[in-house]
Amino acid sequence: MNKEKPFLKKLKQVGKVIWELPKDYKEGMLVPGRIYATQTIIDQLEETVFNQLTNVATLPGIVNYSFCMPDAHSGYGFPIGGVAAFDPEQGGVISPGGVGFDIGCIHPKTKVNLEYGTWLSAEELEHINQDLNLPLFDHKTANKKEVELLVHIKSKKNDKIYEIKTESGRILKITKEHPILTKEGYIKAENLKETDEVLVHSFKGTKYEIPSSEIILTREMVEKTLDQLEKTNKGSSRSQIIQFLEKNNLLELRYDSPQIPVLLKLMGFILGDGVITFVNKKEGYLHFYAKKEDLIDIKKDLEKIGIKISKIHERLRHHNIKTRYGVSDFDFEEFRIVKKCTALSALFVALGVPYGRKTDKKYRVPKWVMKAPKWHKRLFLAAFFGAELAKPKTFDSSNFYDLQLNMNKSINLKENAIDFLNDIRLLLYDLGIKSREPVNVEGNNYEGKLGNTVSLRFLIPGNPNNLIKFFEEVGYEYNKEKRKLASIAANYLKLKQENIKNRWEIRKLAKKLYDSGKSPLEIVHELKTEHTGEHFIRHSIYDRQLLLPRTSLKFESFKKYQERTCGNDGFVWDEIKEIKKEDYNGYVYDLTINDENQNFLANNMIVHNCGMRLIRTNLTLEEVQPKLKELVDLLFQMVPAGVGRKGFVKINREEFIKVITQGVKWCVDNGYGWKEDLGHIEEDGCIKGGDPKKVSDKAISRGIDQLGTLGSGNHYLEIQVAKKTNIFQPELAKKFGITKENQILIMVHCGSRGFGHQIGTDYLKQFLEIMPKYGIKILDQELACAPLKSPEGQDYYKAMACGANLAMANRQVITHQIREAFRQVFKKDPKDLDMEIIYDISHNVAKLESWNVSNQEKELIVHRKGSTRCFGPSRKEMEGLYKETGQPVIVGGSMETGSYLLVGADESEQTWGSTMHGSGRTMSRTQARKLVRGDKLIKDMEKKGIYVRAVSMSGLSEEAGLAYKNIHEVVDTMEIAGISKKVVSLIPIGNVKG
Amino acid sequence: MKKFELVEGITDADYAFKIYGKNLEELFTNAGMAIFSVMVDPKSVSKIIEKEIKLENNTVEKLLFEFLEELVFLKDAESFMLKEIKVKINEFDGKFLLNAKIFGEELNMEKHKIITDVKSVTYHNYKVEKTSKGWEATVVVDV
Repeated sequence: MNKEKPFLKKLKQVGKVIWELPKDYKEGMLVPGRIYATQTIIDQLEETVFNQLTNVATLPGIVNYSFCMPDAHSGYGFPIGGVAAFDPEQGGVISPGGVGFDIGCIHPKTKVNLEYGTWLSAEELEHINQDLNLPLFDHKTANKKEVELLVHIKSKKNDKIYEIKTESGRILKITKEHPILTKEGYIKAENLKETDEVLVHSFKGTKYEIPSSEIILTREMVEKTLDQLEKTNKGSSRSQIIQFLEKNNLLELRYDSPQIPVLLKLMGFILGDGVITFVNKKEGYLHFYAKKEDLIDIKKDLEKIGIKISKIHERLRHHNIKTRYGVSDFDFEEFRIVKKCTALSALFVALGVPYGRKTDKKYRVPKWVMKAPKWHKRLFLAAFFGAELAKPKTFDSSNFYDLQLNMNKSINLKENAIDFLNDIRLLLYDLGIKSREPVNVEGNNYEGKLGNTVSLRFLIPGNPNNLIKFFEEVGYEYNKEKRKLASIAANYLKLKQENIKNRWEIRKLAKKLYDSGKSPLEIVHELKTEHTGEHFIRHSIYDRQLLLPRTSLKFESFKKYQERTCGNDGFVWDEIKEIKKEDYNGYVYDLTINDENQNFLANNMIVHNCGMRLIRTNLTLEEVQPKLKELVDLLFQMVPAGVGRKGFVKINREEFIKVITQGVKWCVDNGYGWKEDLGHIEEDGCIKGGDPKKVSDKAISRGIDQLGTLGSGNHYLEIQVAKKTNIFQPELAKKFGITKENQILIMVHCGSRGFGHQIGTDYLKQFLEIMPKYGIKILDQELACAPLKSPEGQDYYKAMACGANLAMANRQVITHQIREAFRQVFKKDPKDLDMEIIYDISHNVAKLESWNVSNQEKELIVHRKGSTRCFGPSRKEMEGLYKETGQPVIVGGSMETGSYLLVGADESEQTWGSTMHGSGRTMSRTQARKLVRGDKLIKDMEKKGIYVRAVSMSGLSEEAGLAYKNIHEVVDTMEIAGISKKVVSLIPIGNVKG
Repeated sequence: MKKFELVEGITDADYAFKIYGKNLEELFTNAGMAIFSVMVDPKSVSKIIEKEIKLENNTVEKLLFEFLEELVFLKDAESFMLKEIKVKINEFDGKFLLNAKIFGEELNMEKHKIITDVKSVTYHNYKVEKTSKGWEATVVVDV
């Protein structure tokens, strides 16, 4: 698929206009994601939409799919155009970090992997106040990925805890609900069984400690280096160097400076496959040589310290080297990063990195590195090893070579090379790794163009314990291939040791049984396994001395073992061997509480409860055209739009409370509507259960003056025309009263204004605080949520209902004003103008609806964020006219392209009876403003016969048609899917905008 | 030093700002001016009303969020259009205390050049960071 959009890689087309993102797109997805779109629309979607859609799929209790309609664009938390239903009775728990064995585990002693190859136990992590990143298994790429640690949850638990032991001897202690990634997806600990395979990664790294604030490098020290480099301040270049370093937080440097980890890695690497040069003692250049994939990591790290790298160079090199084996002549493809950066070059030199040809330079491991914290030492070493140390390799099917490191040096600097290698050994020693003294390998001395060199070698012995420790705790940086092999090898070696241990136990047991009088035949029969054959058991019985066995001959080869790898970062599948339950009373970390109420109401998707209303008239274009300007100007005056505007309905707090409880009924009772209006509004204009006590005073203060105001942004009021040629279903159109050629209709798009937003904001903040209590972790703060049946969730539902009621009442008061404007302009009673509401429907709301889930009738809370309910005719909620037509859907397009009236079909069951709400933006507001001028747009539209009154010109240009997707394609997509059907498309002739 | 700018690549449907300040006071002042910059042209607003905002919070992030929310609230509840901000922030007992004076006037359609309506401040990509130059915040507002 599209190379530039790797996030599309997992997207599968499952229907003509249906696309699916499988559950393994992202860790923690409980259901797959589904997008309704044509190929063109898919190509236009931003990565954020995919992210948000899949974030929603991780929310507890989600049923079937996380959906996205074709008008999708990125929203807050949820994508706009998103639909998701949550089941109050079912629903698991959320634990996005629950990947494999190293992460998100919960016994206090569990080691949690952190950034820069460090770890801390779960309980120690609690006391760290810094922002830390955790490496996770990324389902998209099957590689490691670092994510920020968001919430750290600690709770008291008195329950069974599961101890899970794998074939390679890894042990994990977790609570019963904790999900673990297996080959079959995430499985809760209590449902795991032996032989399930779980994903593990061997790399542990070094224990994290907070570095001291001791100074490593001062400005004076850099100045001194610049003196040595004879760098003058010509053209103030010296001051610029200092300024650059200070700006990028590279000066002064202390052990606890955030840049130090990256600098250590880069330094280690430069000592291997990097070079610093100074051309004419003036310009400093940094060169890094590695595989392309590793240079990408180096590039990222350089960017972390403020050095932009534009290009990775590629060239074919020719080599001609004379060794004792003869002349070696070969070509190879070389990748490198070359960066001219005198400041960073000088900084490295000041930190103790040699410049020029290293073979001819005397240098040691810088003293400050020698006394750095262990995890600093590891970073330096691992990067050096990434460049220089041999990769893990077996010399037979299962035994590993010693790891070699060769270093060439000018003959006269041999002693210095030995000192340097001993520095490296000392660092390794500190990290608990054994190594052998450096020796001169005479055969490798060679004569090159630049002089004669000696070759020195030091080894990390290949015995299993030493190698496991090295691979698990030190390993390699900037070398993906070696890193991957090291992780797999460590697990392989552990598995091998387990094999030996098991054979040893059997050997001892065989002997014991024999001594107690059992016959060899019986013992063989009893103890024979794949790895302890008859021959082995008989040996155990008869050998006078019990010897520690070797690995079984049947033990799989390292080559074969590598097939268990998952991805490119060294994750492997490891089989569960044993599961034990034990009682536990104490703290657990990152605990997921299994509460019966796991139904979630995600807050911000429903904040403004906005929606659409369509009103008809019996006027035609020919009758309205001559009075269009007058009409639009009057509407602009009567329906306040724009920031800070107050509505004409002045009510006190007591009345306002009635509005938000009763919705449209209050309006009808107070003269702002007709009785029959109620039947033409979704839920008869009132969502029951609204409780004003659950709404803050602040929200009321924001909303009390705003009844009957349009707002701004994409909200509008539009005069539209239904042309006969644009009627797709004449029968249905007739049922909605659209019968005349060029009949005039009015569309209103607006919501609950500041009131709904304040409710959203209030509860968002509250939910963020209380989520830990319910054991909820989310991937995006804007997805803050609470169980529906929790007191907080209930409160929010009641407050949200008030928001929805105000939104409907707001559109009702605006309708009243529209009718009055028509009365004035056309001098006729609105009733005589047949100004009935065709329909009013919300597209930002959560509703309790009953649905069939696995042949069971269930009440779900369906969230529609920028998507519209479109029930088919047979749903029980559809009464009267709508029983024949299906639920009307009002889709607002951009001002220029027009809008649609649709009806829902019974096939809409697949999306919880939901369809799109508009066309969906494809361009940012700022971009649109750059491309389109508001005043010009008004003129262009006037030419097309559309008269626009807008409060703000720039606000208008942001809503230009080119900023949106093609509405017709969006509507057709859902028609192809059979979810909603086109009745008529409507063309604007007049528009009022905030 | 730039006070604030609109940035691309974070949101299409709304506005994303990067806001800068040498110190916290500047950051808060510039953030308040930033979110009002898309609502009303401050040149068209006069200093007629003076209001005081007092807030406290444990973190700078939350304090700024609350401060901006308060401005959005005053815009709706009192049709307050902003002209100028004066902020003092003190750290006391592990808390950040904000004392702000804001100047402006009530919306006047004849006089004020209004632009669009900020409905809320969001947590979408919300960030407040200390940098080598002082402070920097990323704020996305829903319009």
